Amino acid sequence: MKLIIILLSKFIYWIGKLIGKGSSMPGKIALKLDKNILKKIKLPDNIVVVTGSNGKTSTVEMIYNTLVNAGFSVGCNLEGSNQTEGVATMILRNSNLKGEVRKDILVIESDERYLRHTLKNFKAKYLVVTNLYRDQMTRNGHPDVIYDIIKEAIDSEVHLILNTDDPLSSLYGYKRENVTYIGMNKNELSKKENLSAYNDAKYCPNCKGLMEYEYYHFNHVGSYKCPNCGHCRKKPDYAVTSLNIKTGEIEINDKYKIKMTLRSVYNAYNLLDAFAVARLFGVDEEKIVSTLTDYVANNDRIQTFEINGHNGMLLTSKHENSISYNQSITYLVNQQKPCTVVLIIDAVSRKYFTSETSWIWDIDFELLKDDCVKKIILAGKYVNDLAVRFEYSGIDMNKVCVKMDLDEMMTETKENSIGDIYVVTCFSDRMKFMDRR
Amino acid sequence: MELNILHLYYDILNLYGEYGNVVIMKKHLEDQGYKVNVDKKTVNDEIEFEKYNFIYIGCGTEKNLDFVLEDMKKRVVDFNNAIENKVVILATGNSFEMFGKNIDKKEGLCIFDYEVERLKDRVTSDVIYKSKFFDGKVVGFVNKMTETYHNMSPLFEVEFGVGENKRNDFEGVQYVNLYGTHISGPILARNPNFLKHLLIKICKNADKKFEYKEIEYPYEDAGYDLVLSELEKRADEEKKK
Repeated sequence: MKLIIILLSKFIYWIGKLIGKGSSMPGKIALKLDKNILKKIKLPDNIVVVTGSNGKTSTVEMIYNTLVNAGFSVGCNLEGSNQTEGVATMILRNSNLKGEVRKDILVIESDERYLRHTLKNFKAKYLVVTNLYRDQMTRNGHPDVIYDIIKEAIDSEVHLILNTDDPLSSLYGYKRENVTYIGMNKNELSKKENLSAYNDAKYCPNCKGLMEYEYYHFNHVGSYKCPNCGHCRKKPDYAVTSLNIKTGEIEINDKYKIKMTLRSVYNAYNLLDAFAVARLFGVDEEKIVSTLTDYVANNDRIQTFEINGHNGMLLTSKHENSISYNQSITYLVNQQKPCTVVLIIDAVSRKYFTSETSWIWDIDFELLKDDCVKKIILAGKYVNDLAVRFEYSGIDMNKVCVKMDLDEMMTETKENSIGDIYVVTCFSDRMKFMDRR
Repeated sequence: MELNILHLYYDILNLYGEYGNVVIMKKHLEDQGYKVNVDKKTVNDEIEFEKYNFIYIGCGTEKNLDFVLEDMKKRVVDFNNAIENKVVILATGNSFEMFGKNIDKKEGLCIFDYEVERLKDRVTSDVIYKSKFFDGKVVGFVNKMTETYHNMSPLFEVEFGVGENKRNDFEGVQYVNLYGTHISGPILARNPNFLKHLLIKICKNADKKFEYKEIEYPYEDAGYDLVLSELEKRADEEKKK
């Protein structure tokens, strides 16, 4: 039976490849036929699982490339879904007919909510939790819910890789030994005050004591200490010790210089996770540096284009995820070049309409008050909600142009843009811009 | 004339962009010709309740709500007075649960006699409600993990989506000028009718000569119209099934 399922899933995978269809189907069918199929496959001991709210895919991709360049054979669900079915697809595809996965290492991206189900099938050696932010709250509820769900999947043996600057996800390391911490030291972008719309760790996530912050990178991420229970930013094992956002140069542990293609603090965290995991597998530091320097992500979230002589850049963000939008907005403002910003909210979630607009209020649109932002075009079906939010942001509404109709948005962009063009929108909406160019 | 708004627990019951409700109410009151002050207060702060014309409390995680409840309990007398003095109070999301008898085994403020039961799973839903207190429907999103049981005057009747529990088609509570609903987030940004109703109450309480000035808010109105028509379409589709 095992052989038949392996063969069948490989066959379905192959058919899917031919017709260009999704990659969770083989795993889905295999698990239907035998829900314990993954337990019957012999897997390598070295399994790295990556979960968290933001940056999973970028992190997994960097880990994968760093390990492959170091000479390891690696299986990874980069092209697949991150739910249990997608993981099963990847494992069965990599299995030989005897039911063995002959790889040195498996690197697995896991959806936060499916982690506990996926990890019933095998043991992870390393678990990376990138961060815990407000993300898709229509589905997830809120970060505490996700914290508890991930916790169900963490046993005492798994070695954790945690972001010490994030008081929510770093709490998994509270009074725990087998943890590697990554973090970013104070730098030119750190702030004394929290200027974001919210701070989810103003009160300690462990005991609700009033948290003391030395500095913030953004939202609740920074250097913190709870005077009540002692939960605090631990000294990171791998730290960005200096950062120059203009050149994109970072230094890890005062020694290893890496030039980032995507110049943002958010990206630096993903890179640190990759650095840490590669070190845990003994990869030579210089080898890691050479892979990660000028590293260009393969996931097309950032695309460049030209319209009417204007340089354009698409910054794919996640709807219902304010930090993802903040990341894009911070990036474009940091470039300090005269620019036009196009924001599109046309389709939000498949299951719900946008009766839930909280995330629009959680985004720090106030950052766009910067002088370099010359014009803002708001567009899409839910443009009114954006416009209401902007009216209360203190941004000069003379700079803001509101176009529900996407063709009109395109005409406006083509004819009246000033400077570079940044398009900030979600996967679900980005082609509505790109296809109209 | 000056009006004072209290944004209570602004830094901890702020899970779904609730500050939007406060900035919108402030702007609309200013447009009616008043000077408006907003005080942001939180756990352990000293608060002069008598000062305020409008008190707003937003939604929080379950842990944060439990934490805030202990602070709320120290203020039971203040809340009772504010309610009896007809102060307009709006509590959205799970925050209004605290005014009841209990949340599971935890004792609430016992100002009202409703009971709140926490569930294992979250309840999320787009909703359309209507209210006997004002014309027009209310749209919004509910994101909670409780059911509420009571015999009080409900704020809303459910037209589409979830209500307070599986047994009836009501949602929220209304008593004197206290309004509680599980709709989460910036509900006043999307519901011009509800906003206007509360605004008139606040102004009339403070100013006997108040007359409502009709002002256009094109984006707020258009946003509401669109979502209501989208949700009504979906409600019709689901009825047909």
